Amino acid sequence: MLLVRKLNLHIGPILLASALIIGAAVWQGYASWQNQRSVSGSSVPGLVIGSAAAAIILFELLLWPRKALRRIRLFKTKAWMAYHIWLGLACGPLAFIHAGYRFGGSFTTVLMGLLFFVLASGVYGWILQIVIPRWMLEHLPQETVASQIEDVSILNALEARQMLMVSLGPKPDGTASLESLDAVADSMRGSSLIRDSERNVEAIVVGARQRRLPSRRAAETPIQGIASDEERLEIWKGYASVIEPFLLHGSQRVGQLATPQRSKEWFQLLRQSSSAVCGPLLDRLESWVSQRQQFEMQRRAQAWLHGWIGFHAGASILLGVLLIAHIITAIRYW
Amino acid sequence: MPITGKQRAQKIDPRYHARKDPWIVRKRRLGWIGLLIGLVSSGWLLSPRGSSHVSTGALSRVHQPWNEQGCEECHTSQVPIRSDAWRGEHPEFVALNNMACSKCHPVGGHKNDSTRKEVLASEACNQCHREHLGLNQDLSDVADNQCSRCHSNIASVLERASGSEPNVSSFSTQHPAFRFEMKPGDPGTIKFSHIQHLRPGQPKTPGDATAKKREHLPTKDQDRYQVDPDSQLVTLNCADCHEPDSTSADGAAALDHKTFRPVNFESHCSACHGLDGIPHGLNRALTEKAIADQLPVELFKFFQQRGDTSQLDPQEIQEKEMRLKALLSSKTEGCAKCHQLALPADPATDSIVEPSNVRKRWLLDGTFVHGAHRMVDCKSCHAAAYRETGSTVDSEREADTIMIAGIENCRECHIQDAKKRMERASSQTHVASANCIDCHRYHIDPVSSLPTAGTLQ
Repeated sequence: MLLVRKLNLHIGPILLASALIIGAAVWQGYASWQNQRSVSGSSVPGLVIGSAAAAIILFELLLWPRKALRRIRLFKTKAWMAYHIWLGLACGPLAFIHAGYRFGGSFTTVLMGLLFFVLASGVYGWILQIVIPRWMLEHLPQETVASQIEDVSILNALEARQMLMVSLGPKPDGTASLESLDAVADSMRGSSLIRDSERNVEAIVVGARQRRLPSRRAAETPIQGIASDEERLEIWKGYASVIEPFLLHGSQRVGQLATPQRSKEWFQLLRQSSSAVCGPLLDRLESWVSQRQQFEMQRRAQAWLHGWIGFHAGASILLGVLLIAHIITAIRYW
Repeated sequence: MPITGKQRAQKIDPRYHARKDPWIVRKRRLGWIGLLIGLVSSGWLLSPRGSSHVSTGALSRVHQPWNEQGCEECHTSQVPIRSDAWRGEHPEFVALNNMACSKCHPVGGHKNDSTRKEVLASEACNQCHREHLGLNQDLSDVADNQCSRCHSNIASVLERASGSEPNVSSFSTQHPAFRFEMKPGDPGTIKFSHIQHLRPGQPKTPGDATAKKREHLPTKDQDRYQVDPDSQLVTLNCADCHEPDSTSADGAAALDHKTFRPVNFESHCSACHGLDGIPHGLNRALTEKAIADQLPVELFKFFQQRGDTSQLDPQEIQEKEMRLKALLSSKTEGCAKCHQLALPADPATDSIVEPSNVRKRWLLDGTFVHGAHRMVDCKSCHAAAYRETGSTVDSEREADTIMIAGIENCRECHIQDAKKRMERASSQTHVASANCIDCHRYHIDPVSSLPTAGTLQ
């Protein structure tokens, strides 16, 4: 049932699309049989079928203004989308029947190619919209709002720093220097969202005048004992050179933690060089790394989920404009 | 300790939705790019430079220059040009479009007198000659259905139908027999036996001692004809008398040669049928004068052969004179051997013989290209000429026989259905299409108003 809903298997648009295709094919076939050759787009059936295909393309393009004016609530969204999909699918065969099953000259071939690209990208997106959200639900339990991945990653890094400072003390000398989180935020989106201060460890959302504090519980020390100096040095070293760069920048800079398997091995080595006292602390760090890995996966999934729509929309608008040119030239050179 | 959902939620900016979604930004950007490309390319397409690209297909090779000159050479703005277009058969539009074609192609119409005016008025050139179907489209390759549109129900398009006009829908299944099959009889007056002439030595009766041998031919013609090496009998073949109407540079028959030049007495007959020096083809008065002039020459030759010119025997002179005059008067020899003698009328202008009436073309409604049939033996279509009876020939009766095979013989090789044609190709050497335009032409000659070769009469 869920699949039926997701596939937009509405009987109305499916019947309408099927009726249009069958009716057009029969009419064109009958006219061709009468005429003893395939009738062209300028014949009466060709014109009517072409006009129907053009009207469908116009309706498909109305999806955009409808989204912009969604507060008006023109028909149910699901119903509109079902008609958008099924009538859109009918549009390709209708255009081909309109053209007498030919691609014609260079312009009409481009137009037809563009139409099939729009249809293919739409079908591709339709399939992705069914598959990817289900996959994300199962495989990315720690996903967040896509646009907040960087913010959350910076806050996680901030929490991790706090935790290490509280649990292990200040970062010893001889370890890699830590980046300014504010600078990281700046470089990521060009404006400072988080004010990071080594003295005043809090995050401030600029503009919203709202504080987004790192979790207190997260900052609480998980260590129930005293770590040795060697352990402190080893953990701070690993954090400064590998963990924090990964939390901030993901696998583009740090390959050691890119996959769950590799990070597991990496943390395994760190655990071997430290005592059991540090176990909970390392578990916490590993949990942030795991979340960041899921963010990476989420980013890729989001790219698949939304990447097609720009091409679909761009090509659709191009198709709409060229369709008008086609109508003008067809009337001029009937 | 795992991070709770609440802890995760606390890290999210509550106003995150106010921030621009990069995917929406990207979508809008691509939308604008699409709009821009669309507007620019539409503007270009609607300009004169881009107009050739709105064509529904490449023009045929012969009309390629029009790609440069622009669509308006043939198209009138907002006038449907295709015959199947909405209002495409409107007489006003058809006339306008046909006028554009006739600027360069001043072809004649088709059955203008007998066809209903409204039918002719809706016949656009492009109904049959379809353009924009690619560089290699042959515009003269008209589909059969364009002919059968009218010819399958010919009475419906005729101004005054008698009811006896044959309908034609396909060469294989519905096509009338050739005219000569329906009304046999050769109007020609030449008494000629193909059977006799194809016999070695050309005897009237097989085994006749008068059969022509090489030594009987004039010296100049002795190497011209084939001779049987054992019997030395002259053996004729078709090409000895039937010369193609057009030849290629090397003298061989051209591939497109349609008919044969008329058989000519001097070229094709005189080697065997000498007229004792009397020219062929003169009228009665000139022939009589030629006979009178020729008598002293004949006498001179006679005495020269005898080697004695001192004695003139009046009887011998008379015999010679009679023999020459018999050329004109004999019912079986001389002119009458091959011709029908005409009744004397005005001796000054009148011909001795009836006109030969040898038809240059027999298939008047179609154009038969002999060159296209070069791969088949003459016998395949002219079997009657080879029908050896073994008895004395009757030239007069045989001359009345039309020695061309009928339509059924054509159907042996010319098969309309492509599938059947392929099937037949596996069992016989020669198969060919059977399209209307293989034999027929539509337009009459615009200058003479006469049918062009192959135009239906």
